Amino acid sequence: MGATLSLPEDFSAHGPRIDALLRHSLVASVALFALAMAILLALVRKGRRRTRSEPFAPDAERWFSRAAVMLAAVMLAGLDLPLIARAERDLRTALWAFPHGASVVRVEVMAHRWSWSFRHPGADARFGTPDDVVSLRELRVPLGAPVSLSLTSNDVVHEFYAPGLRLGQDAIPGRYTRAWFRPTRLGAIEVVCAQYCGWAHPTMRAVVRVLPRADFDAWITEESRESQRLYDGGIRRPDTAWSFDP
Amino acid sequence: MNTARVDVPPGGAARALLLLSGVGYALGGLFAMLLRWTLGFPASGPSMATYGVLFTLHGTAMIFFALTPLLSGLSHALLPRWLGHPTMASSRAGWASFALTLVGLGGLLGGLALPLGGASTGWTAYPPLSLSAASPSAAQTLFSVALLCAGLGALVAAVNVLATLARGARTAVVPLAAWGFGLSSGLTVLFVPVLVAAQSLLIADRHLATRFFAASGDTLRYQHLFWIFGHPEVYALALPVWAMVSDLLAEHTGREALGRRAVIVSFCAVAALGSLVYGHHLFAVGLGPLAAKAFMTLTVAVSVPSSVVVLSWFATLWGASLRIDAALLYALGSIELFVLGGLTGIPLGAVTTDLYLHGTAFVVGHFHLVMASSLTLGLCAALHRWFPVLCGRALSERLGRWHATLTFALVHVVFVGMLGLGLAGVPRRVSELTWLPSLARYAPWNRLLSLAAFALGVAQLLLAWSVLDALRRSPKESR
Repeated sequence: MGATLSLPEDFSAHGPRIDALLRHSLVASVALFALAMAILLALVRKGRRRTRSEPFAPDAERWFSRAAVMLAAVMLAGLDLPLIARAERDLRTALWAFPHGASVVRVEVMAHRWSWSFRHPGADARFGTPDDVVSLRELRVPLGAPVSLSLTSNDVVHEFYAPGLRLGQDAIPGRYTRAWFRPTRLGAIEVVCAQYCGWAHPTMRAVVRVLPRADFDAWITEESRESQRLYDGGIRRPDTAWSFDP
Repeated sequence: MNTARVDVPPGGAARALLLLSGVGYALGGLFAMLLRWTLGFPASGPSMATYGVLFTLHGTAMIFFALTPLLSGLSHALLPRWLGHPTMASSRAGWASFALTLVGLGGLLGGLALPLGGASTGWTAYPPLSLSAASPSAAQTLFSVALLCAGLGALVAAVNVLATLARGARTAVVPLAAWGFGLSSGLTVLFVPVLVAAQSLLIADRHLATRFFAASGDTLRYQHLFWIFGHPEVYALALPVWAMVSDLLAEHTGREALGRRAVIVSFCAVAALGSLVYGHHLFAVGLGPLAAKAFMTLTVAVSVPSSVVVLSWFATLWGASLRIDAALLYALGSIELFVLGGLTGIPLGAVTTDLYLHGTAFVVGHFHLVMASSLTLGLCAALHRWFPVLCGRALSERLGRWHATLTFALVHVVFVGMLGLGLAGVPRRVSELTWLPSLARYAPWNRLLSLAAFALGVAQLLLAWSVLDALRRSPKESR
C-alpha cells in the first residue's frame, strides 16, 4: 500500500485555521454518525426480536413533533451555527482580508492550457513596465511576506490549487479573481489545476518556491535588471487588475 | 399495501422508461468501469484524452439517462395506483418523455462516432471549454442537444405527474411517495427550463457566433445557470426516494409513518432550501462575500429538515417488529449512506473548507455516497417492493440480499476512499497521479479503489440477472 492518507504539510499562515475547521466538522460528523448508527442498530436488533409491532402511543405524534423541534434546535445550535460562525470569522479575518501596503508581494497569475505563468512587477513595483519579471511554472516568493495573487486565464476556466497552502481559486477568462497567502516555511509547494481544462489537464502544474527574504530580493533584483536589459521596446500592456488596487 | 387498494397495471410508457433507465444504468456503469481502469492502471487503461470522454459520459448517463427515467418510470407506473385513478392524466406524455430521453441518449452516444470524438467537458460542460475553440467536435453540440432532449423529457413527465396529482386522490391515505414525486416534479418544472436555456445559449455560442458565455461575454453566467438547475436536480432525484423509503418502513412495520406531517413539512423545506443553495458550487469563482456567506448559511441549513426526515425513519422503526428481507436491507443501507453522505456535505458547505476541498476527490466521494449509493439502494428497495406490481413477479429474495450486502460494503470502500484522497489534496478528474510529484504517492490508493469499483460493478450483475430472470419468467398476461 502507498502512503497513508493525511492532510498535506501546511506552508501557509491561514492553513491551521482551515485544518482546524476541517477537523471540527469531521469530529462533529463522526460523532453524529456514530450516534445515529448506534440508534439504528439498536432499533434493528430489538425489532428483529419482536414478533409484532407495538401500536404507537396515542400521543406519539406529539412526542415526535417535540423531538423534531429539539433535533432541529440541536442541529442548528450545535452543528450549523458554530460552523458558519467560524467559517465567517476566518473569511473576514484571514482568507478574504486582503493585505495592502508596500510589504505585499503582488503577483499576476495567468493560467493557460496547460501551464501557469507568473508576473512580478519588478523593481519599479508597477506592472506592465519593462522590468516585469515573468516566470513559467515556478512562482518564487519570500518567506513571511503576504503574497497577493490576481488570477486570470487566457483560454478556459482553470483552478489554482495548492493543497500545501490550503488555497484554491478559479482562474477565469475575462475576469480577475483574487487570493492571498503568507508562507510560513521554506520549501516547494506543488500547484495543480483543479478545474478540468481539457485532455492534458493532469499535466498542468507549477511550483511555489518559498525563499529566504534575502535570496528572494537578490533574485528579483537580478531578474528585474535582466528583464530591463533584454526589453526590446515592444509594448507591455498590463493585463491585470492591479491598476485598480488601492 | 396499507395506503392504496386500487390495482392498476402500469402503462406501456412507464415500462419503456424503466427499461430505458436500465440501459442508462448499464452504460453509465460501463463508463465508470472504464474510467476506473484509467485511474487505477493508467499504463494499460484508456488514454488521458479518452478518460475525459468517459467521465463526461458516465455522469451524464447516470443523471439524465438512468436516475431520471427510472424515477419518471416509477411515478408513471405507481402514481395512478397510489391515487386510485385508472391512468395518469395524459397517457401520451409518458411516451413523449420516453421518446425525448431516447433521442437524447442517441445524441450522447452518437457523438462517439464523430471524427473528433465524444464530448469531454464533464457533465457540467463549462464554457469556454465547451465552446468551439476548445471543443471543436460536433459531439459537443450533440451533447448539449442530448441534455436539452433529456431535460425536456423530464419536464414532460413532471408536468404529467403534477397534472395527475391535481386530479386529487381517491384513496384513504396518500403515500408519502406521492408527495415526494410531486415536490420533485415541481422542482423539475421550475428548474429544467433554466438548463434548457443554458444549453440553447451554449449552442448559439457554438454555431451562431453569439457571445453569451465567451470570455468577451460572461463565461460565469453559464455556471450560474447550470447550477441553478443542477443543485435542485439533486433534490428532485432524492425526495421521491426518501419518501419511498418512508413508505416502505411504514408498510414493513405494519403501521403508518410516524411524524407524517413533520416529514411532509421537512420535504417541502428541503425542496425550498435546495432551490436556494446552488451558489456553494461557485465558492471558488470569487462570489462576493455577502453572496458566499448567504449560500453557505442556506446550504448548511439543509441539515435541519434532513435530520428530521432521518428522525422520522427512526421513529417509524421504534417499537416495530422487523423481518429483514431484501427490500428492508436495501432501505436500511440507504439510510446509513444518506446519513454518511449528508454529513460529508458539511465541510463542503462551509466556504473556507470548501475552497480546500471543492476541486478534489472528496466532492466525488460525497455526491457518490448520496446519489450513487444512498439513492441507488433506496431505489433498489422500491424496485423490490414494487416489482410484482410492475411485472407480475417478485425479484429473487436471495439475489437481492446478496446484491444489497455486497453493494453496501463496496460503496463504502470506493467512496469513503475518495473522501480520504480528497482530504489529502488529490484533485478530481486527474487520470494519472504520477503527473503530480507531490501526490504520486497516492497512486496505489487509486489502484485499490479501482479494484473495489470493479467488484462493485460485478456485484451489479446480480441485480441485472435478478431483473432479467424475473422479466423472462413473468406471466405473459401481466406484461
